[in-house]
Amino acid sequence: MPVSEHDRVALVELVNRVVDRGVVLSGDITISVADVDLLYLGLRVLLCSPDRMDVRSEDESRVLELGSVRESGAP
Amino acid sequence: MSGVYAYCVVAAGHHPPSGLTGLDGRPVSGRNIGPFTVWVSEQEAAPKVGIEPISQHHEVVRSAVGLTTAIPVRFGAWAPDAARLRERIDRNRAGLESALATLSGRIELGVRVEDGSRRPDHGTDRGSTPPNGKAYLRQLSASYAERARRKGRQESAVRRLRARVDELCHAEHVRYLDAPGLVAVAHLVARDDEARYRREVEAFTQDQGDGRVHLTGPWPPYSFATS
Repeated sequence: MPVSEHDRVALVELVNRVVDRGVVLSGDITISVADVDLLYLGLRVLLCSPDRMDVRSEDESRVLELGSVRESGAP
Repeated sequence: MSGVYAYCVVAAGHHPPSGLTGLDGRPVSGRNIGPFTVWVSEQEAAPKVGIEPISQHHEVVRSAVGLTTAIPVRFGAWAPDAARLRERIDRNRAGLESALATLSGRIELGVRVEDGSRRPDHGTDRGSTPPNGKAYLRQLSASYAERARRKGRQESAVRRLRARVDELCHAEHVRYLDAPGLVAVAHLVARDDEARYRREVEAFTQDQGDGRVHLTGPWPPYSFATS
């Protein structure tokens, strides 16, 4: 399914906030990175580390790196 | 005993509405800890990251913000038991009290500026190997020059945005982005000033030329929740 510009921006902004902002209740906070392979609005979310996440749109061959955004020709 | 997953912190006594669900559809309840109520659900283990749990987390926080001032907790705050959660809240008590006061009556709005038709030039700093040292240095120099130009465009966008909305903002968080993004700015704005803020951003958008501007929110104040 094609991803609209609005959906793409909204998703990047949402994930960036929820994963990278907000109060950190330090201690045993754990974010599991195993078995993440989700499809949502045509976007595949890949986790690189708990604080840096790539959202890869196959339709656009674009890698949106949350925290920064870059384009890539790589699939 | 089951672990607990925390979504947000509110002033004591503000409990979630009945029927509210969070991660994995689990019911959300309020735990009173000192001067706070923490919205939690029972969760055997720390959650896996994915769009669905992130959205579920966000919906709970959004529900809290719709009722009262809430401090969003970052995704992934799981404690193996209630005692551990209490310990963490107690440790952050002063910061949480201060955050509640700062966030009261305010919302977060986001402005994301992208570089219009400009496409990233990966050839300047990656890709083909230069044939000799001179070509390498030329390539490196071009890459530095592009970075400097880009930095200039980023700072200019932030300056022009601030000129429009500065008096409406109680706090600001700026992230500089790699191409095609330029910059993502979050502002903490009084709820009553939202319409005015939107008008000012609309005017900023008109000034932006070929750059694309996205106004998002209102968000729970994730970018300004600190303890």
